[in-house]
Amino acid sequence: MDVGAIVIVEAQGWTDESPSQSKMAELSSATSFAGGTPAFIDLLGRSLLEHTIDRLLTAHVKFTSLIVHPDVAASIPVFRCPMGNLTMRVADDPWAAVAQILESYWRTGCDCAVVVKPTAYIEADLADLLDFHREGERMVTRASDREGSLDLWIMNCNPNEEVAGDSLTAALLQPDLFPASYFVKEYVRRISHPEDFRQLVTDAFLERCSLHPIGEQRRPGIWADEDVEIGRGARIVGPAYLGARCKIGERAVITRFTNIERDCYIDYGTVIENSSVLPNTYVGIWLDVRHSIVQGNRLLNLERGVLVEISDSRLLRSNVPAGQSKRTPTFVPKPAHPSPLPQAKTFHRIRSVSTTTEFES
Amino acid sequence: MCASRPVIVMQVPERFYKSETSDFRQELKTMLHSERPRIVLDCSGIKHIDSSGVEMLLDCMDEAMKRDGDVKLAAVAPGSAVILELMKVDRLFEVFDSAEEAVRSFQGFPVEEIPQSQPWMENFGELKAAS
Repeated sequence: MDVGAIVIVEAQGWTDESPSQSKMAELSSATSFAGGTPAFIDLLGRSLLEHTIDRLLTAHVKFTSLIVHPDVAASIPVFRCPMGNLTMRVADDPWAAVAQILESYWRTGCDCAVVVKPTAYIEADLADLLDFHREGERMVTRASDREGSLDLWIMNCNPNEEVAGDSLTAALLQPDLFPASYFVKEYVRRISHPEDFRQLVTDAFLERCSLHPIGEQRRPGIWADEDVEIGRGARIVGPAYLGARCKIGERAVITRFTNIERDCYIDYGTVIENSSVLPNTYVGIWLDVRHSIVQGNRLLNLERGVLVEISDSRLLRSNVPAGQSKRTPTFVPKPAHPSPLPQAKTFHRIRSVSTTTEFES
Repeated sequence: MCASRPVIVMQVPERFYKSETSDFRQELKTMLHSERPRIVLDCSGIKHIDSSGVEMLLDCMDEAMKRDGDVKLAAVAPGSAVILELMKVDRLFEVFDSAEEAVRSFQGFPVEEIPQSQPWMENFGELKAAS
């Protein structure tokens, strides 16, 4: 029997249940830093969403469906690689959409489907997980690791099966009904906090996981994608990643566990250390960026737990107007049910944070 | 004596822009033109800072250094600290958690107690003349 896959992207920002980091979580979620959902952040050349779908395709799923909440549908990233027969659906209630998609998979000959939310980077052995599910003759199998349940399920597609006297379709609306039963031994990194994102980048550089930067390794520990320009006297100290069409100005220093994503410009003499510079960002002359995530004119300092918005465009700015990307679209998922997409509201939200320090010219 | 020259603590305005701080700048200028100015800028109130604000801090430091004095920062909010770090200005100033600590730091290392003329300096002068 064939296997389908469903990826659910919800409208959630960063979350963190740890009280010690609640301030950071509140700050991050309130500002919708990095597009409102961690799934859309570029991570060594591709978004976490694309990495997730790519892993599903590698496991030879027959169909893949993407369910996106209307609040984040406008900011869905363009995929770097062809994504096969991926279809996209914008839905308020993801589990109702899952039930419909499972039924359609059943009609096309799939007995079960992998359902995943890209809230974590999970390297589970999907073939082993499917075997476990089928051997146990379960209707739903949920994966877990040492820290608890993961947002990864295997679900039977047959709509006529019953769970606790209810149809599977109705039971899916209460996903917590199914306790986690499959233990993932492989690498897992939950992305509930910006620090987790940085840790995943570090782990990838140190080859603790199988996430590889896009592009080629020019020197040991230094990866660069296509059309990267490096100015005279600039220094790149590995491990480091330079995304497509990046420009590194003269005498700039990119050092230790830094990823500069696509279409960024790091200007003259600036030092970037142990930081992530997200796509389409200009970082001005002679600055010092450490332990931070930078996106457009926003800088999240992880050491201090502070997000600052800088309105002096000589320091930090977005390279392109909001909503436009320089990246040549390789693949755009086709919507299963076209619906009007709302405008992104991230800018208004960030203005409301009281701890934000503006830096105005 | 150290006690004869007090440490002046000044509260930095909430909006630290050159265009909006004329009174503050005038007052600061007066303080800086005294002999060996010892100034603590209490930054706890800063909500917005721009490049002219950072420039003012640097000018202030420059003036104080010319007169053998010093300017120290106190209670810098995390947001302002990130901006100072980003512009590589943070390492030029001594930064303290509170104005009281900053004031005490002046008392710990009084400028007056450093001898202006050391025996080795005289020897150095002689050596230089001999060469």
